[in-house]
Amino acid sequence: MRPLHRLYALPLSLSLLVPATASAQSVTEAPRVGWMPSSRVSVGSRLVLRVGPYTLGGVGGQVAVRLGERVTVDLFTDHMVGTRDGALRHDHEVGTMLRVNLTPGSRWAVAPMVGACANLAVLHAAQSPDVTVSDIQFGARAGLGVDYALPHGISLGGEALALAYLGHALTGWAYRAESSPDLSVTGAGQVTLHANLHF
Amino acid sequence: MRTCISDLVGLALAALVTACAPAPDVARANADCAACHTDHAARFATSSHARASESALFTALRARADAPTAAFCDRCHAPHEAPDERGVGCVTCHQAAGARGLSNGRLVPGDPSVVYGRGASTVRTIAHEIRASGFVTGGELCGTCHEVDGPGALVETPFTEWSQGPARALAVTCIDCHMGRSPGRADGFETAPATPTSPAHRRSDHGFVGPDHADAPALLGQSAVMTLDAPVEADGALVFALTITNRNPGHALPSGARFAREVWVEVTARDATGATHTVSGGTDAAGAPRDPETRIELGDRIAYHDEVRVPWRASVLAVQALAPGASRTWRVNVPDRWNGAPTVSVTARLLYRRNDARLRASLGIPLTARDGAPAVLATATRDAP
Ligand code: HEC
Ligand code: HEC
Ligand code: HEC
Ligand code: HEC
Ligand code: HEC
Repeated sequence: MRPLHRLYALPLSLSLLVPATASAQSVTEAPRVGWMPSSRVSVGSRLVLRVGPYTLGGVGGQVAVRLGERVTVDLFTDHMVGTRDGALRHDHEVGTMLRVNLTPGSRWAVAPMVGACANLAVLHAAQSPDVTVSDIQFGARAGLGVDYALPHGISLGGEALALAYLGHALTGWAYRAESSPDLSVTGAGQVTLHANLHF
Repeated sequence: MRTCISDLVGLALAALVTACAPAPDVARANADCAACHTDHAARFATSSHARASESALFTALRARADAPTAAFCDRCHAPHEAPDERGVGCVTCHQAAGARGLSNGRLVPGDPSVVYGRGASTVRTIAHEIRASGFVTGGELCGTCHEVDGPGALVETPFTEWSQGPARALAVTCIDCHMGRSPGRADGFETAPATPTSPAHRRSDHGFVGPDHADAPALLGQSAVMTLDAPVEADGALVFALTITNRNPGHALPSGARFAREVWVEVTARDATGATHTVSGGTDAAGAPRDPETRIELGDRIAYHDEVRVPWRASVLAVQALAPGASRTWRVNVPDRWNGAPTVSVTARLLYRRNDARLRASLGIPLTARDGAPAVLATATRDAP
């Protein structure tokens, strides 16, 4: 288990740094408006709230690459924590989304999206944090995103997503943390808010 | 479902701190504990835990296991990381922070500088930190090993039986009955110091008295009552109703490693000449049953697939153990006369043998006098009409 602890420490600390760097860069950017074809790549940071077997909140980062007038591919990573009955759970996720912009040329981008992700979930027993279980879960996600373009190549947006994960259910007690031996599918909902910087 | 999103930042930091904490890599030796806890060490040396990797039956079976199966045995029978250690030891229990499941020995060791216990000590020591743990004192610790969900007939379920039984409802745990002053009963604890220089406090008996312990008679005497009702006469036979009640509210009778044990009823009749005849439950010179199919048994019915009886390559056909507090009645037919001499009285004895004779014989380790002599759990006698 120890090596895993080290594994998740790195992305977690990086994710805390991403918002700081992003805002520093935005000051130096020239004013830019709308979803111009010249803007192909954007980088952003995000806040995540997930509701499911566990309620988790956290931060993340994303890179969006526009492939055509309407189609954008996102790569993202999210890092979330939450508790249930005192048991700490943290999730570390990477994934990709495909969005289709229904309103090209407008300051508003309204885009249905689908994607896939892989999630490392770690659970600690409530009274004995040394007792952990972890699982790598694979997920599919779909939902709707809305973005609004501001000056200076900045956009703000949000997403509402439905998620389904295939993995082992993790359950925590005072001194126990258990991973179910059976694979199962669990559902969750997620809301994301992000700020992107366009190049 | 209590969730506090407001604590998220704190939790994230806590996660980072946990992540960076040094890994405990040295397991402590049990001999270290004996230096101060002299009474505990001496009493513990009498327990089956201290010899859990050494019994004749265990070593004979483990020798037949492939490497992954032997490693599975060792999780519970020899769970030490430190070299030169045998059996279950002080460190196994007192450094267990918790478990990854209540079965199959999935203990998780905690910080080696901490001992987990009741946390009632008022005296401090430089030897270790003391932390209260409901895991150690509530019985879940016991359940982690005393619940085997192994392959085949390598099954033990005392913790599940306890969880579903009356003792749990009364908040009576494994510790009350197996570490208290009276083996097999929740009768309180002795008072004695934890080290020769400490003040007296609640002493938990580290003999872990079980059927293999020298104090087993006191324990086994708590297990069952048996009755024989007045017989009815039918076709030259006397038909007795024999009832066994498991008086132990803690778990089934028998419990634990049922594949290793033998629990059966021996019925004998005395005729008018004073001669005694075995009606059922008799054994041969090697201890094997003469009427294995018909005698009254409480042990599991196990189908072994090979000549040599290896539990994890066998299957349990039926569990015949009595649930906590439960009773069961059998009809026992006794001939009303023996070579013309009428039956005068009938005696039933509920017998318990720590190692099954046929299991031992098939492994080439015949029963010794100590292992072979069955303990008597209960007796009932009834005169013929
Ligand atoms: C999950 C923990 C666990 C595992 C794994 C386990 N055992 Fe045990 N075993 C126990 C416990 C607890 C007892 C004591 C039960 C009792 O006394 O009724 C026991 C008792 C026994 C006994 C009877 C007592 C004796 O030593 O004579 C034998 C034999 C035995 N085990 C063999 C094995 C073998 C062989 C393996 C591996 C194939 C194994 N066990 C794996 C927990 C375990
Ligand atoms: C230097 C002496 C010393 C050594 C070595 C030592 N202990 Fe202790 N231990 C103590 C003292 C003193 C206490 C407190 C006694 C009291 O409460 O009166 C104590 C208390 C305990 C308690 C009771 C804690 C509670 O729940 O209140 C446990 C359990 C324990 N020790 C286990 C161990 C184990 C296991 C080891 C070996 C790894 C060990 N000790 C080694 C001195 C020692
Ligand atoms: C109410 C008292 C009581 C409680 C609670 C209790 N036990 Fe027992 N235990 C006994 C008695 C009496 C016996 C002897 C009769 C027997 O063998 O079942 C016994 C026997 C055993 C045996 C030997 C089993 C056999 O039949 O060969 C094991 C192993 C055991 N107990 C473990 C446990 C564990 C583990 C727990 C907690 C989950 C526990 N006990 C809770 C009273 C209790
Ligand atoms: C099978 C698990 C187990 C093993 C092995 C074990 N203990 Fe304990 N011990 C316990 C439990 C459970 C308690 C708490 C009992 C209670 O609630 O009163 C305890 C309590 C204690 C206490 C405090 C109560 C008292 O009696 O003073 C001391 C000291 C202690 N153990 C020392 C030791 C030492 C030393 C060893 C090794 C020789 C050892 N233990 C091995 C389970 C274990
Ligand atoms: C690390 C695993 C482990 C833990 C934890 C554990 N046990 Fe055991 N226990 C065993 C094994 C293995 C045996 C069988 C030893 C043998 O080979 O005879 C056993 C045997 C026993 C026996 C039967 C002894 C006999 O004479 O046959 C009793 C009673 C018992 N344990 C009680 C407890 C209690 C009470 C606890 C909790 C405080 C506990 N055990 C915790 C592994 C464990």
